[in-house]
Amino acid sequence: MAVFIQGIGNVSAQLTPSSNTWHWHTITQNPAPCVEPNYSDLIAPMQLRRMSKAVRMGIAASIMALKDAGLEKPDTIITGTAYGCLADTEHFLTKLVDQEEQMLTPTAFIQSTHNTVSGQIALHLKCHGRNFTYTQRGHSFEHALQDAMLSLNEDAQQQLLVGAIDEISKHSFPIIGRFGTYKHEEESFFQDSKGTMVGEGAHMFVLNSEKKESSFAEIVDVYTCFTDQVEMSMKLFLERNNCKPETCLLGLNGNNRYDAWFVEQLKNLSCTNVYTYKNYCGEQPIAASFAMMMAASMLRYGTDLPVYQGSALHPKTILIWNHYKNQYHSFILLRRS
Amino acid sequence: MGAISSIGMNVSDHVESLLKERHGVSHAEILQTHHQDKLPVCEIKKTNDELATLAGMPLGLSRTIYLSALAAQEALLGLPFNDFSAYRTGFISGNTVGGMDLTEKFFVDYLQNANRGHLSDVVHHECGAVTEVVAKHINLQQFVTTFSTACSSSANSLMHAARMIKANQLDIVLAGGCDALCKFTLNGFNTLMILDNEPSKPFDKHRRGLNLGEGAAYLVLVSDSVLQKNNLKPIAELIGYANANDAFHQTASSAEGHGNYLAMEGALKQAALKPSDIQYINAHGTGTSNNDSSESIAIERLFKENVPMFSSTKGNTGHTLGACGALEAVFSCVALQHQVVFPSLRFKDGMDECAIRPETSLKSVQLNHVMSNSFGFGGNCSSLIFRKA
Repeated sequence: MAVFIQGIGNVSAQLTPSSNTWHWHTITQNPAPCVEPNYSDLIAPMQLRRMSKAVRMGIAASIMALKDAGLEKPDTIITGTAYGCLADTEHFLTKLVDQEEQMLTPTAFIQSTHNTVSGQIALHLKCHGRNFTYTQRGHSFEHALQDAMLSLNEDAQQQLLVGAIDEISKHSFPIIGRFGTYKHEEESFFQDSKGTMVGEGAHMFVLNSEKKESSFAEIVDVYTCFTDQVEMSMKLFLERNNCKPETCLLGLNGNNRYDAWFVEQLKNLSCTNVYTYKNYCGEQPIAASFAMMMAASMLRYGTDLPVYQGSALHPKTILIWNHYKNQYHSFILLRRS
Repeated sequence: MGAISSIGMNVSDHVESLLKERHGVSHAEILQTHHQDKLPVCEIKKTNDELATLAGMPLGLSRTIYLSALAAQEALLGLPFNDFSAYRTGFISGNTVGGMDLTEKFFVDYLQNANRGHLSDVVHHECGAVTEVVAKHINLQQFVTTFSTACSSSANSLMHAARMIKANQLDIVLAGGCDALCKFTLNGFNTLMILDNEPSKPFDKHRRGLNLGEGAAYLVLVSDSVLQKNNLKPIAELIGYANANDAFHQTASSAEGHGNYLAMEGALKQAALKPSDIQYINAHGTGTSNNDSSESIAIERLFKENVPMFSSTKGNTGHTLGACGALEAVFSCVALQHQVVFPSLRFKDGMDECAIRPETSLKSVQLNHVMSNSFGFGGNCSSLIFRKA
């Protein structure tokens, strides 16, 4: 079953491209600030006031993707999130500790549930179809995408809204920092040093099995694995798709503990043109969803972004090789539709 | 199958408890909370260290991990072989708050000083981290994923396992879910004023809410070819499954239970069954005013004159959140194995808004198809149908 991307919704550190001139820049701040849209165009102010950042980013990205695809309501909603609604979780936890379990109010608790975003999208669209939320760390988006491909095999007529959301919150940023995850303040993204810079966002896609003039790209295959299987898995992945992609989006995150190894691996691939993406969105567990937004836009419009290696051609086939903490690996193969 | 909850440390304990109509409602002894004396819970009376030892795992991990590992290990023992190298395997689990029991401990110190709190207490905060640790422990690491769709999480794990086997993507899947009691959820549900300060009475006119429970349950699902090749005798067959969204409110169900109706209808359709083919529904039946009324109305609307016997076993186990879909899937299979229907404990008076009444005593009956319902926050509604093997 061929699967096509019909619409894209993106709330991240970069604006969604609409031509081959992208105006994207490598992030210089940690965490990378998210370019949030003017929500009042998309969500009623009364509702907006009660929404956490994760929820409003997710709903806004969903509305953008649906509008882009000219679709009013999907049949199925599938999301991925590693951390879920962190801000509401922390809010409720803080009150729980400070007030010693007394006089608590429910709002933050009820919005802290991991499926709040997909539930709120369903509520917003009055969508009664299947509604799944995957929470498998660095594979959360990929598992949602694999489910989408399975869904279209089960029923080719479906319209799917699929994507991923993760937010950085007041406390998660310093806590994650204590693990030595970040670069020093004055360092740049690709500085030869330990650590990375992080980001957040929501990326939603309308997918179906109809090839259209306006389709962004075809999703050929998605694969997830762990580090110890990565070399063999890549070989099998390319063989089973009988494909030699000429372009690769490589998940380099600026951490010199991992990046050199990845660059070394390029030798085993057919890709002559290599782009990076985490320098635009910041490292995050759902970075593959940003990469898929970027790859789909590249296939449709072309891009003026600088290549990491090779030459800047309008790509035909793109391999996204993502990793999270060099533990969760994934491959997504897209081609021009 | 594998199961652990306040009414048993394994499946055979659960069978005995269900047949003897035992419940696990008590005051919290392990969970340290200000509500210890006020809010009854369905707690497993083992400390974290005791659970760790039983599971053969290091001390200091999340209680949710231990519960998950214990039920997962038991479920795998149900297979006559433990070398899965010839098969494509999966471990699909559901939970609602990951390692929150440790995160809330961390936060006490962290809020006093941002450099304090043991980092080992937050490494398993993510729902997926809990699954990952257990996947390593039981050595099922090919395909590992986690659902977090509130109280339907583990029903969705089972549904997805069935889909992946049907699509010939996997051969053997261990699917289910887990959740341990923690202050975060106890206080959260308390703010919603849906916790009963007495043992809960699902479907009763005077019901006042739910009791939170803890537990884990997993079922081993295999493909037809694995079944035949190994001459396995299945316990039951998962033939119908559907998920739908109520799209009404973040936490409340619509009065007519639209999502519940769609999930049950979808499961019947998927199994190619008529409503009259179902003999028993293990209902979601939490004991809250809202759920039990919406679910009853949806059952009445869908099944019309053919409403099957139904009951909620949450009077026994409490509401185990991320575990309940799988725990009740185990109970549905036990019902089919033993050809019995379990009663809804403490039910006395029927609701005014519907005519249907749950079973109130243990009944031996002929069962071919059992439906299991799980409904959660975010309007997430799932229904599974099991057939007698």
